Amino acid sequence: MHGARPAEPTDKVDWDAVYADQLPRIYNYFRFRLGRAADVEDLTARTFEKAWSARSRYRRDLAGFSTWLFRIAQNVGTDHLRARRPHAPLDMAAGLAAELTPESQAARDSDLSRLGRLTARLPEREQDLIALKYGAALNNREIARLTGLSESNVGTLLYRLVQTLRSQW
Amino acid sequence: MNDEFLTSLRRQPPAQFSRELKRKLQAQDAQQQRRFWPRRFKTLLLLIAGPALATGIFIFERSPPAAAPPTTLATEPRQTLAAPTDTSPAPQEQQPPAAAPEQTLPVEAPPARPAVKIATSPQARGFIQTVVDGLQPRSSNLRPQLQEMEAGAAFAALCSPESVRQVDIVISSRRITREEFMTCRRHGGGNVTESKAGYQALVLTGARDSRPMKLTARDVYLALARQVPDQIYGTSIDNPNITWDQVNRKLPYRPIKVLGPASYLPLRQLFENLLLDAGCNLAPAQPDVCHALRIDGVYAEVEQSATLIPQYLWTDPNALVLVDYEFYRDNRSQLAGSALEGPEPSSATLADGTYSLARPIYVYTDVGRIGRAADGPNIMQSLLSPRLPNPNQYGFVRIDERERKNPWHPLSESDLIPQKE
Repeated sequence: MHGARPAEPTDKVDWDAVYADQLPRIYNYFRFRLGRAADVEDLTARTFEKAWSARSRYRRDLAGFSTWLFRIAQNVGTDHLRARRPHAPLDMAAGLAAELTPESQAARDSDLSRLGRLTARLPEREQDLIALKYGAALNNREIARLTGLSESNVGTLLYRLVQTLRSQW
Repeated sequence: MNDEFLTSLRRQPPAQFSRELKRKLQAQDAQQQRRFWPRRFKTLLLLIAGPALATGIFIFERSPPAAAPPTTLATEPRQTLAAPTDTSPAPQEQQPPAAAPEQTLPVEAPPARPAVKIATSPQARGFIQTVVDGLQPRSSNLRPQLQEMEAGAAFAALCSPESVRQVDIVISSRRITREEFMTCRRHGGGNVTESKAGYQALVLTGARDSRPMKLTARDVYLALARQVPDQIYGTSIDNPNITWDQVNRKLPYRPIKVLGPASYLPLRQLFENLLLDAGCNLAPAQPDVCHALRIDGVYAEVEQSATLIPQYLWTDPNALVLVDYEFYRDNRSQLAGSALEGPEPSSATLADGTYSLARPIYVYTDVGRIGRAADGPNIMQSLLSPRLPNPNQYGFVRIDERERKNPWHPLSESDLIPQKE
């Protein structure tokens, strides 16, 4: 499903290669996580700046580089979502929901927005799983390491999620 | 699983964004480098002034006696001996009248050899400094010069061409890579040897009869860090964990209490490098707070004493304690096994690298050139001696005799074939 991946960085890290390999992953992780293109570049830049300034402390023998980088990305994303979480009164939210059904909205929006609208109904953990698997193109083992779930659990959850999303697509 | 509708949503980042971000990161690097400029300037000055001074001394020594008084010998004590021949006015009673003419005779000075330059990683600097200070005997009076460098820079210095070589011995906690070794070869240093001087190792353990624990570095970090990432929002908050099951649901309900080295001890630095950094990488927290431990009593500093530690553990059987490997080995009967997941600490697991709370200390030199530095072979021999001094509080473990090999056997390319992890 995904192309061949360059080797994990060694003690003598080729940062250019790391950048070239990881940038699209982080970028797409945020696209899938947010379900829109806005803010994606900002969050990607913020993740790389944090990682770059701390990269001398990264040790290959302690954690995979992508695991380390995605931990930072997850925190950056969570901070962002928390800051942007709308605080609309409940009655207003009910009105909004009645006005725009997911189906009618999806017909007008791009595929990414449609995905964002569908995943918005899912719990945070499931949203993150989709973003890690299909945005960042991580394998189940890497996702398990990041989420604290077992590898088989990741596979099962993803299978169910994809079935659900496809039925609503 | 038909997931094409999802994979098709992936896009390449815009090229302009990619370029601009890279430029921004490079600018960030440059800014950091500017902060280190004064230090680099000093190093540069040293690099220029050092060889210049050495050349000056060499030329001065080789000049005929008429041009240069025979008072200039390579080492300081000899200069002191020759002082009476100085033409400057000196009190008459200080000059031994009979000895003076003999001392002014031209002396066949041995060729001036520079002091051995040893590069070591910042983490091992304190330990190596103590070891080098204790090395005896020396045939010359030149003390080895210790330089603190990251491993990559140290290997580059060892493997640079002869004319600009800055390092005679490298002490590193990682192996030389194949690429670095090939650089050595290209620059005429094909006789690089690799030896292990020993290890630095710690053990997290508990009271002998306590319930066994199998923790990860992440668990330990999340239990002991002053600030941890919030489970929901990901921001840093004061560590709220009181029991191990709050850190990780798979762990038992057991109050968190860890005894460990005080912040000013070298063993604490080892604890930070081997365990806290590992946990911090996996948690991960903001890198600048990785070493900040709780101050609410959950982590308590304790002296590594064979009397005190068993007493502490007797009064609080739930407590874990962090000690160095030698202490653990010597007091094994009083202590439980390792509380970290993975193999138990032993000579075998240290040697094969499977025990996680240990790091090897490798020693590298170029045997074809080490003899050109004053006392070079002696110092190399001492560093690899079974009687290498073992200063307290550094967690040093001498190498097992079975692991010891001929230190003068040159490394070959096939020795560096990457091993599968």
